[in-house]
Amino acid sequence: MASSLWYLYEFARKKWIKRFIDAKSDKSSYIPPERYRKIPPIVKFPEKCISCEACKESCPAFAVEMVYSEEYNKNLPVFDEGSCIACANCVEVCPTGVLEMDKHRIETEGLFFDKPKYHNLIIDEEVCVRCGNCERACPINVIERKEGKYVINMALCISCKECVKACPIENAIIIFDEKTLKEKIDKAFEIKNKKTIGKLEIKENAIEEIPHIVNGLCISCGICKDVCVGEIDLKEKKVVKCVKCGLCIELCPTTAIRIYKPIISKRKDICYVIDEDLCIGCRICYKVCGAGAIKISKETKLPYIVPELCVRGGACARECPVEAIKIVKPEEAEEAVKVRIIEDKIIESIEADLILYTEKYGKVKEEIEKLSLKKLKEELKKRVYEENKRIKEMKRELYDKGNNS
Amino acid sequence: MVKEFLRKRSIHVCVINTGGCNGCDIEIVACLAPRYDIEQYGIYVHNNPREADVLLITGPVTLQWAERLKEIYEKTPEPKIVVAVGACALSGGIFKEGHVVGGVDKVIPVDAKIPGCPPRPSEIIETILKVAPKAIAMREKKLKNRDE
Repeated sequence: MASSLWYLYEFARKKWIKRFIDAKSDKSSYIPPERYRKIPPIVKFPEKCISCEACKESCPAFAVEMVYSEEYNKNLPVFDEGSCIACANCVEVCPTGVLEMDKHRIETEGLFFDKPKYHNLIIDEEVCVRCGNCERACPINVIERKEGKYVINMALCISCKECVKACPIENAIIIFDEKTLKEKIDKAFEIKNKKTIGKLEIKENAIEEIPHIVNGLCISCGICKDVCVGEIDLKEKKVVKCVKCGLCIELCPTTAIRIYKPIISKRKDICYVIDEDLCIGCRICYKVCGAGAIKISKETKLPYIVPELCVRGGACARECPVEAIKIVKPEEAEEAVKVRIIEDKIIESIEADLILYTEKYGKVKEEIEKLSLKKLKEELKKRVYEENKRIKEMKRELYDKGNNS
Repeated sequence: MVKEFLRKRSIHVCVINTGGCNGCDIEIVACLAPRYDIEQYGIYVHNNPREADVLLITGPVTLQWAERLKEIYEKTPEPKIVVAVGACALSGGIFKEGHVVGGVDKVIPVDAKIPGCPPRPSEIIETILKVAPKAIAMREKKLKNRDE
């Protein structure tokens, strides 16, 4: 009897029975778990915000909007509660740590993470003039100069597009998003299917030249290889065989495969001019300019800027040690370098003529020398012969005289 | 018989999914399960719009669903209450750019909104309990008026 009572007591004392009875009033059922994300994320340090719009770019639900705040004099993110899906992409992408969603930032700090974004940016190395404006404009310093080229670190980029604004050349930074990539892949798939069935109609010689692949732009998506009737080597980034159908150029999402791309300057309202009175002739600007717009005058041996080639990058003005490069209107710039250009043209033509003449002169001289050498030799032989003759005669005369006397 | 009699005065809920990802539906199912047990609060998930007091709508309203949703809304007896559950039902959520009309409030008037992707079951229960009694009171009034 006593033992059975003990068993009953033990049974009732067990924790699970208590939990069973208290199941409905258990705290865990109405207190959210520790890692539960309360939406929307809060703007914890608005003073740190640099208005880069990275949060807006990363949001998959388009819940973030940049609204001007009068208190802080800048654009601050405003979250739409209804759209937020608590993915915390905005918290992780924020370069200055403005946002916070519970303790998310502390929990995930230091973990490997590709910054989520809608648009991807790549620098076109063929058109880039290496002015370095993008490197300066980047708020989080992910653009670096590697082997003479500027490269955006795609994993860390937040697609704020500050570099696009700073870039002096049109379309030098190529933007591509998932949407275009998907469209192009779908199109390529259709063409590939047609190709395998054998129903693909190819217009040969639709383009003029064999296209080439720009190494830095290629994301190795393989669309061109799928579509190509000839052969493309993606490892070497070379077009091996080509029928000039132009399908790859049409379908490349980053325009990495192309024939030719011109360098077009964004700004036409200003131009740079070198003040020749201040210039010390160090030629740093000449080395810095990637567009080849700076030439060295043959008359004065000082550099000058050709307005038609200048892309208004401003690298020359920045690097100049005596600040001799100034911004003026394009008409003034043209006026200023007009004389130098004409001078150079004349000098160049004269030089070219001179070179031609010297070449001709050299040739003629050589011929003359050859001819004269021959003649000289002959004359020498003659002279020697004559001299020998004379000496002989003289000897004979002397001999005769000796005999006579 | 007994069940019907007992459920006569409970809050009748109709769950409608207008084309979402089912995440919110799973949370609603979690409400039915023993842990949250929605019936202990006198809420009865009925899934019949003709008898419902509360329409729980999840998911963005797709183009095909817009007309159907209006029909369902017209079929529910007055007074009716519409609760939009989750980010999609509020604004379209991640499906904003797809073939959707947008939030539920673009098609029918909405009384309560629950943000979250998905919201917690406790939040859903809380909202229904906050919003529904008003409707129930109105219904009682109507019934009384009819009797008189």
